[in-house]
Amino acid sequence: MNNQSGPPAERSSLWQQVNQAAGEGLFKLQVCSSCDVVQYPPQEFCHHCLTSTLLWRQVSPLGAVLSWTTIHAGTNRFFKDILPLHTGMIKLDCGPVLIAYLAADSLHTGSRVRITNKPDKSGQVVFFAASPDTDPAIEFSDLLEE
Amino acid sequence: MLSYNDIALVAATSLPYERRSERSAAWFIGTAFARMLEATGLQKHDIDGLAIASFTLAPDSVVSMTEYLDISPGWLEQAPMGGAAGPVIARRAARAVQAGDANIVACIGADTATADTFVDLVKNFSRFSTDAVYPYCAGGPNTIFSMITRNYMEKYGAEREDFGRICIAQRENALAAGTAVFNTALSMDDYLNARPISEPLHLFDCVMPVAGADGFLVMTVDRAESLSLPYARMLAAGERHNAWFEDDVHFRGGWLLYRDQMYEQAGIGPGDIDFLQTYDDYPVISMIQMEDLGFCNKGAAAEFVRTQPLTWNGGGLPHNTRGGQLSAGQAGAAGGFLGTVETIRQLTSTGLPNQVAAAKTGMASGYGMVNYDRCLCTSAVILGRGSE
Repeated sequence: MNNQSGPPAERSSLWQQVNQAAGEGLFKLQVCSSCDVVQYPPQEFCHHCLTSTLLWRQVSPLGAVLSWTTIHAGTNRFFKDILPLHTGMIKLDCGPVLIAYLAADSLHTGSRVRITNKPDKSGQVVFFAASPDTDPAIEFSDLLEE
Repeated sequence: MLSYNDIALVAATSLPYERRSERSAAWFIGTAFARMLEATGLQKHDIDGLAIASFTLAPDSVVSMTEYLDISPGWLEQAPMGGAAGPVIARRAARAVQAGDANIVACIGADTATADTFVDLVKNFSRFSTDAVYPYCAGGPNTIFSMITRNYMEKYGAEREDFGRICIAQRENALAAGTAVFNTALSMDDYLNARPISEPLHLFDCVMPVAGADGFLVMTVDRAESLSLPYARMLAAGERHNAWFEDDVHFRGGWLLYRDQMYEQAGIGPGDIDFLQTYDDYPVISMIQMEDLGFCNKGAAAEFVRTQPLTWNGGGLPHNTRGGQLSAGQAGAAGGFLGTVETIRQLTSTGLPNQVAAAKTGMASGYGMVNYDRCLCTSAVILGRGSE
């Protein structure tokens, strides 16, 4: 059965690195030590040059909104009283496309955003995108770990 | 490329879809298999190849099915391509028959739907999805495809009404065929005023998970004729996976890379296709297929659906003539067979309630497996009417 007292908690083992970086207050993604490609979501080898020598490095958290949605319905009861929420596809300046909760101040294609990383109530880190001078913690307080 | 046109597709089979079922996927596969034998007069031991697509058959597989069915095939296949599985499996089975590795292949897509199957499926659909998509409101594929839809609308000027035209025409087709889970007419007001799911997607842009099975048999044209079985001839087939991975947001699919080869192989162009069955998990994806399969230019599908009737008898391009998944529901991997099976049905029948008049050639395409931010698999077949 699905445990729906909180948001989804399942992640791959690689996600612990994402959690750890957030715990240090840093935004880190996998960077290939051979070809310098930045990749997301994490995987065990470089999708470009196929080597396994990946490092978790600090990268720029800035990017732009490619597209976005307002979600009214989901498959997990935890969200029922919190919805609607916005999410966006964010093109990071360092390369990859990342899906994040999107602040109400950034609901436009092309909006410049900064990514922050915080654990939600499952204890796992999720990403938030908001205008670079906004702290999304207030808008998304219902989601965040206390 | 070796021709496919000595290959026959026979015994278009669909079990009625059910909103919920306590039966297993194996029951749906076994029952579809029995229907095919019944329809053709073949015996179990005549079937020496079996190809399956199913999300909910696990922990069983096509191997388990041989024991359940008490058959001993010399050729087995299971295709994890979801919505692209129908044309992909038709193509694999055709090559096996041409090579002599099998004589008659039963091809079946089937899934069950309990209260939990859909949630379990989207929760663990892929590792990328578990890490990087599902945590965000657990929205399932709606989250991704709403963002693909918005991007398409902004890039090409499509409006909600344009998606509505596709959904409304399909509902008319479903009502004519008498087969849909949704069995009332859909007006543009109904469509536009439906509740939002993941904006810009609203209720009628999304498919309802259901249980069901669809399938067909693959054999040589010579065998179909010697058995006096009505058949559709395979004129062309193609597939491509993870195409255009350089696109930040999905707006075109792998079809673009092989459609010209398919038309060349079939010796026809898009203007000669009498009806089209696209994979309609969302109407924007049907539009992308209309473009990428050559029925209109890239970005012109909104204009195309404003001017072309899409109903089975509208005189334009009959599209998803049995109502598609937007009317019938999405029976998991059976959804990947729906278009191919309806194409065979149209080309092997004469008196269907939704019969496309004088149809000689039809096209079915498939699209499946949203690994992260788009579906990766595309496939298509062009089929022609067999002997008159």
